[in-house]
Amino acid sequence: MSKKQFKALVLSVVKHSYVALAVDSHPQFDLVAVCDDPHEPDWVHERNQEFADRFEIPYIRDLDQAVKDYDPDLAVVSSQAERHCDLSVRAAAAGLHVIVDKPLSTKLSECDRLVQAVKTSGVRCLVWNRNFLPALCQATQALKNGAIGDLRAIHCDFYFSKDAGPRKGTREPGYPPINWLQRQIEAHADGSDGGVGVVAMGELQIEGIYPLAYIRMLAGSSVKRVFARTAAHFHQANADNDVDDLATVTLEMETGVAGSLCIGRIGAASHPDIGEIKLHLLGTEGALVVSESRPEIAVHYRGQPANEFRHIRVADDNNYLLMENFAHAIEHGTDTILDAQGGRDICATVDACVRSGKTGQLETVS
Amino acid sequence: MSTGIKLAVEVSSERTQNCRTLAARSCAVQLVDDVKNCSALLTDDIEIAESAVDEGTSVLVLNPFGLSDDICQRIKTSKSCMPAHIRRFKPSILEVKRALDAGRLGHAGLLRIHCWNPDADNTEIFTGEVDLAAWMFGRVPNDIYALDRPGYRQVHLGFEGGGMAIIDFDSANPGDNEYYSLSLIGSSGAAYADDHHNANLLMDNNGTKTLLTSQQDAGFAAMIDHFARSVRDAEEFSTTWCDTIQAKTIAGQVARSAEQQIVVAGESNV
Repeated sequence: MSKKQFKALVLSVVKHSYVALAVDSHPQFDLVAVCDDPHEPDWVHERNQEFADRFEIPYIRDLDQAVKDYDPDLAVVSSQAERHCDLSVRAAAAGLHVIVDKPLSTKLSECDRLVQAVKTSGVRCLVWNRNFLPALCQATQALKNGAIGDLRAIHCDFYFSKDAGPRKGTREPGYPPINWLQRQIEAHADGSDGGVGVVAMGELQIEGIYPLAYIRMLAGSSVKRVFARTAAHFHQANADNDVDDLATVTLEMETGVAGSLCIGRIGAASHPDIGEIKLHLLGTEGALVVSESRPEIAVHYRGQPANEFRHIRVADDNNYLLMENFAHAIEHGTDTILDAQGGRDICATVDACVRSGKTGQLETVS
Repeated sequence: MSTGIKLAVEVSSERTQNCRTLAARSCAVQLVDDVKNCSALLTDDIEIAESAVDEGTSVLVLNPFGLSDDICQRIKTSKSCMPAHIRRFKPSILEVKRALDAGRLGHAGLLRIHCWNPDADNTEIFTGEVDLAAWMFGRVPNDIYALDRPGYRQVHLGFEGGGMAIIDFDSANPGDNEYYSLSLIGSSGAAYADDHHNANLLMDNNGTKTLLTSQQDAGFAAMIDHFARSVRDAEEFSTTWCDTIQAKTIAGQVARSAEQQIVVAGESNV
């Protein structure tokens, strides 16, 4: 018996296209159209149109019209970060299931609106994450099997060894601060535009959802209170816009588990690959040290470009498994691996971290 | 050819042979048995150390972090007495510090240490790791927050200029398992000294096991060598009693933070 096919409406695709591509690569999902609001700036329309042309699907500058014309089952939202929730809320209100790119939002109030909209409409929501990477699956299974007993402490190092424009300290006297949106638009070419949008975001806000989703899943707990130190240590754009590119966080979990996170966009020179991303878990019966990148292979050769990764990840089923999880959630009314409420809770943790970084004090997660 | 300094070893009996063996590795050392006939002394007894210093002998004092504040303050002005901050001499740590001091990593930004060891709550280990943080950043922390759980402590330090460190200590890991990981993220580079990177595999009838390649006592030997060369060449020691006092002060502030569950403002006691 063939499985049900789902029609996906790409609701803005201006950052990376990895979410829409992941949806398209699953056999149960078909991209039917791209759409966005008409009043968006030209660069947004250009990127949407480019994606639509690539997949030979129409680009419609009207959400209601697109829903009416193509009767989609779900929306795939990958807009500027500050629009993620609003577009998702509107999609949910139109009865569409939602896949939304990270970060969920720059505002907690917007996340709350999404949680309510999803609940009211009875649709499924998946916040994009990496919880199905092979190493994460292995760690999850080990915990489930009781390999280390009950979890006592969990730690994640999440360093992206990417550059992000001019290095801190390189702005000449008299030059204006870097405009965040302009810098993000320019960064699209090298893929360092994870924070695309008008609102400047630090690394905690842009990438924090990945490690915090790991911790949330493995610990099976929300975060109650945090203490964070944050700094703009590397990049001029972050310094100019008063947002972090390096942070350490102490996480006090609801269950009593002790957690911590080190996160940073540490520059391409600081690691031969994408960056050191590791999990350290302490249990009552043992411990687990996990490298997120494994399995991987190494390739070295004469004349290799300096910025080419020496290690290549293999057997990465994250995209496929996320979409399997989403399809199952739609068909059986189950929760997704990271739903709107989970995304909202992570956003609240990030919000508390940013506050703590500024106050230097413990902050409660709201 | 340089002549080795006459070094005597006066430590608790179970450590004597090991200390003598490691000291004998140094080309700057000529081991002697008679404490009265030495120019340098390795000891874990502070009374013997102070007497020797008074007699003009150079002394390397083991286990300095367990000494009282009064003793540390009394001895801190002595130029001929070196506190054994052994963790600074671990080969992997030395390489990281060399890279930092050479400017290859830029400004230190983030230090992360996992110290999982059945003896992780031992004063020498705990304070020694805190000392590493202050040493890497070259200053005492501004903010200190610590989280305690049974057999576990997490220490979070914030430094002036935006530097930050998290160190976690675990002594509750079952078995004799040990794991150590240190990473230092700088503004233009990073260094990773991680047992996870230095693991080999053993496959036997019971399945596959991981074998960590140990640095063994290489750090201890390097520390004795540094001490002996400094004495021989009349150079200053790389660690001072001010460093010891500073580390002990931070450790005390960590304990206060953990006990009261508050963020403590760091301050120097030197």
